[in-house]
Amino acid sequence: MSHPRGRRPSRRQLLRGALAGGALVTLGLPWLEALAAGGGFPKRFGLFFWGNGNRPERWTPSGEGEGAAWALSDQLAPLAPVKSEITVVSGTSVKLPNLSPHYSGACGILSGAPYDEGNSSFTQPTLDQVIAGEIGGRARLYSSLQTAATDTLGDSWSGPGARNPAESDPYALYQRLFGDTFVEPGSGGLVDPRLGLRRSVLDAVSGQLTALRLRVGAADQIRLDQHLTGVRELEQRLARLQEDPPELDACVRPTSPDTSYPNLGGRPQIAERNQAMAQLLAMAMACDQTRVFAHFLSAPINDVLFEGASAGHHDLTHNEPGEQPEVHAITVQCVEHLSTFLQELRSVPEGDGTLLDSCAVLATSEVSLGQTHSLDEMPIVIAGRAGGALRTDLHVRSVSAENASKVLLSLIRAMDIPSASFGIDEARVTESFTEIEA
Amino acid sequence: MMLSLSLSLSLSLSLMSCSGPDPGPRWLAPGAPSPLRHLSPSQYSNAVQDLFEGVQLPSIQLPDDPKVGAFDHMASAQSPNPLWIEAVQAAAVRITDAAMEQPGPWLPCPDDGGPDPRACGHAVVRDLARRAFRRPLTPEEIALYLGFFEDQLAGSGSFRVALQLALQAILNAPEFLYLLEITPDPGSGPRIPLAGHELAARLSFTLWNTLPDERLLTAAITGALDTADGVEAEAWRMLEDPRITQGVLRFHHLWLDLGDLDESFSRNPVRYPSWDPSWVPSLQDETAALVWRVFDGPKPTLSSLLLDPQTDADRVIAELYGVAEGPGPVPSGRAGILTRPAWLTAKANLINPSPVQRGAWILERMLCAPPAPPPAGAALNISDLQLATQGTNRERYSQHAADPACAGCHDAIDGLGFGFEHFDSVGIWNELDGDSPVDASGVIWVGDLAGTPFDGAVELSELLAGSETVHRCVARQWFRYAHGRVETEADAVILAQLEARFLETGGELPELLVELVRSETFRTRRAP
Repeated sequence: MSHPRGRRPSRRQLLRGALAGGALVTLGLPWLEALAAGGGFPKRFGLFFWGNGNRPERWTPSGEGEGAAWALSDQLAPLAPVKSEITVVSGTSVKLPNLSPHYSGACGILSGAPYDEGNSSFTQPTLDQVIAGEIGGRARLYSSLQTAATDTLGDSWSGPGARNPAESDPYALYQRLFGDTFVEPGSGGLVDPRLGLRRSVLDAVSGQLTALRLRVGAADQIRLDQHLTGVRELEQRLARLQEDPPELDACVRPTSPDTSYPNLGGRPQIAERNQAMAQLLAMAMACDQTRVFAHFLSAPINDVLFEGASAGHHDLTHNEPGEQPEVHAITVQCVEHLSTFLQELRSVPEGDGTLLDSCAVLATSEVSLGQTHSLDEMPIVIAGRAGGALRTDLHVRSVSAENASKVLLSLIRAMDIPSASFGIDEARVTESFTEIEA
Repeated sequence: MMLSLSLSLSLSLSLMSCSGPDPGPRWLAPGAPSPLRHLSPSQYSNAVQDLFEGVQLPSIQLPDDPKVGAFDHMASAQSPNPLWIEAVQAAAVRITDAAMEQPGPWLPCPDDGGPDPRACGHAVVRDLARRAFRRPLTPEEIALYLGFFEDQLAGSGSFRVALQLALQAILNAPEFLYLLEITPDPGSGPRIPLAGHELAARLSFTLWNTLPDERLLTAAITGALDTADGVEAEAWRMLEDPRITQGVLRFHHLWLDLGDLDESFSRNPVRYPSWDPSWVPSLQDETAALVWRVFDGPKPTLSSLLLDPQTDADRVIAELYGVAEGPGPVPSGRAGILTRPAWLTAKANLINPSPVQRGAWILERMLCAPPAPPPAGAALNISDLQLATQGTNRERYSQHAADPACAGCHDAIDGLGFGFEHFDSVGIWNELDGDSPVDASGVIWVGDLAGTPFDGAVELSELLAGSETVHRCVARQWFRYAHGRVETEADAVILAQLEARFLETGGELPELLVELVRSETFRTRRAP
C-alpha cells in the first residue's frame, strides 16, 4: 500500500503544470485547505454485517473497561491484532417486537424501525444512509457504497422499497472505482477525454426525464424522480472525474482483484472476496471516492456453506445439537473476516496515523443466538476512533439491557451530525451510549 | 367414502388457515394502476441484441430486481436504484463501443460516415431511436436526437464519436428503458385503451421477451391492434415466429425456478462426488427442450408438459438416467417437467432431497395456494446435516406430522413433496433410501383433488395434469408474467374468462397466450 513519496510531484508543481498547460484543471482545494487548517482527515463511516448471529456465551469479553481491564473472548479472539482499535458493547437489546424471525432483528439493529413483512421492505433508512445523507455528499464520487462478500443484495435501505443493492463482484467494483476513469494523484495521467462526452449524454437524459415526469401519474413520478436523482449523481461523478484528483498521499490504484471467484467444492470463497472488497473500499476512502460504506459479509438467514462446515449456516443454527461447535466455528470465521477487513483499513497510512483512525465501523448481526432469533445480547463491535470522537480498546457491558439504538445514536453524533434521536417506536432513543464516546 | 370425504373436508378447512397471503394485495392496493415497469435484465439483453443485429455484443448483466413469486420483472419490486442507473450507463458505453467496432447491417455507410456523414448519422439515429422506443419519433424527439448528434459532430469533428454518443443517449433514454403507457385518453372510462405502440410493446415483451419487429410496429401504426381480433391475428403470427421461444422459455425458466441453478450451484461433495456445476446447462437445456418440444408439437398442452416422456439425452443426462445418449424415452418412473433433473435439483438440499421445497413449489406455483411461513418459534427444522442419519429422509420429515403446530401446513406440503422421494438432490432415481425401499406415496390436500392419494411422481403428475385447479393456477401465473404484476380483485372477471378458456381448450398453451393478450386487461390500462 505504500508508494515512493519522492517520485510524486508536489501540489505546487501540479498547479504550475496545470497553469502552464492551459488545461482546465481544478484541484480539490477546499478539501486540502481544510487539511492545512488542521481540520484533519474527513470522518468515514462503515457498516460490517454478517448473518445469523453468534453464540453469546462464547462472545462476551471478560472484564470491563479499557486496555488491560478487558480481554477478548473465544469468538472475538481473531480481533487480537486490532484490539487497541475496537470497542465491544455487550448486553444491549433490540427493543422492537420480534415478529419476523431474522428480519425484525436486521431492520431493528440497522435502522431502529420495524420491518414491513408484507412488502419485504425496511421502513426507515439504515444507519449508513442516515449518515450518508449528512456527510456522503462531501465525498468526491459516491455518497455511499454497498458491497458484499457473498451473493446477497445486502440491507442498505434509503427508505421503504428503496434498497441500495450491494455489489458482490469485486472485479465489477474495481472497474467502477479504479477502471479507465481513474487517475492516480500526481501520476500525470490524463483524464479520459470521453468523460465529458458521457456527461453530455447524461445531460440529454436528464432533459428527457424532466420532460417525461410531467406526463405520468404521481406514483410513476416518484420513480422517475428517483431515476433523475441517480442520473444527476452520475453526471456529477463524471464531472468530478474530469477534474484532476486531489493530492492524497495514500491514494494509489490498488491491485486488480480476480475477475471471478467461483465456488470451490460448493463453498464460496468468502475470505478472498471479503479481503478484495476491503482493499477496494479502503482505497476508495483513501482516494475520497466515498466516505460511507455498508459491507455485507453474509445476509440475514443466509445458508452459506462456510469453510469446514457440514451444512449451511442457518441450517446449523437451528439443527446442530448441544453447544453447537460448528456454529461457534462459523462465528469465529466471521470475526476473522472482520479482523482482516479492519486490518486492511489500518494498512492505509494517513497523516501520522491510519485510515482506520478517521473511521467508525459498526460490526453487527441481526440476532445474537441464531437458534432462538434472540434480540438480547446483540453482538456489537465498533472499530476506529472517528477522528477522536470514540474511545477504543474498551469493553462496555450494559447491565440493564439498554436499547441498542443508543449505540447507533452515538455513532451518528461521532460523525458530527447533531441528531436529537434515532429510531422509531420502541427502538427510539434520544440519549446516546455515552460510555463509548471520547 | 363418507370417511374420506369428511376427512378431506376437515383437512381442507384446517389448511385454509395454512395458506399464505396472496402476494397481490400486499403489493398493490386493489384497483391501483400498475406502476411503471422497466426492462428486466433479460429483456434488456435481448433488446440491445435486436437493435445491433449481427454485432457480437459483450455480455451485459444488469442488476436483478427482487422476485415477486416466480418473476423477476414485477413492477412493484423494481426501483431505479443508483447501481442500476450506473450499470445502464456503463452498458450503453460498452454496447456502443462494440457496435462501432463492428459496423454491420445497422450502419448503412462506412464507419467514418462516408461521403455524407450527416445524412448517414441522421438515418442511423432516427432508425435506432424508433426501434428502441418502439414507435415513430415525435418531431421534438427528432429535433432533440439529431440536434444532439449535430452538436457532438460539430464539437468533436468525428462522425464515430458523435454517432456513438447519440446511440448512448438512446440507450439511456427513459423511452427505451421503461414500458411507458401514458398516451392521453380521449374517452372517460375507468380503463384507457393502450395506444397501438404501447400495446405492441406489451405484446412483444410478453410473447418474445424483446422488442417488436417491423411488422408489429407497422400493425401498431395502421390500427391493426385496435380490436381484440386484430390483436389475436397478430398474436398468432407472433406465435409462429422463432422469437416465441424466448418468451415461452423465459416464463418456464422463471416459473420452475431454474434460475436457482447457476455456475456455482453446489451439492455436498461427499454425497455427490461427481457433481459438477458444469452440468447445470445440461439440466436446464433438457427441460427447455421439453418445454419447446411440447409447445411446438401437435398437443401443446399443460398436460403434455407434465407428462411428456421424451428426452434427447446429452452425456450428463444420459449418465443421470442411465440411458444411452440421444433421443429416446425417459426411464420408467419419470414423465414431464417435474420428474426431470433440472427442477428436482433446484428443489433439493445439498445432501437430501427436500419434500418441503418440492411440495411448497407445487402449492405455490401449480395450485396457487402458497403455504404460510412457519409459525413464530417453530423449532423443528429438518436437518440436512449428516450423511448417515437414522431412518429414511421420509421418516425424518414425518416428524412434521407429529407436531400439531406444523402438521396444519406440512400435511399439505409434504403430502405432495413425498411423491418425489425416489429422486435425490441431483435428480437420480433411487430404489432405496438407506436400507429401506423408498416410499413415494402421498396425498393431495388442496384444490379439486383434495383427499386424493397417489404413489410416485408419475401418478402425481397425471393427477396434476387433469386438475382444474392446476389449470386455473397456471393461467394465473401467465397473467402475472404478462402484466408484470400480481392480480387484484379488479382482475377477477378477466381471470375467470382466461381460466375458462384454458379449460375449454383442454389446456392448450398457445390458446391461453392468445386469450391472454386479447383480453381487455391486457389491451387497456387503468386510469390513473
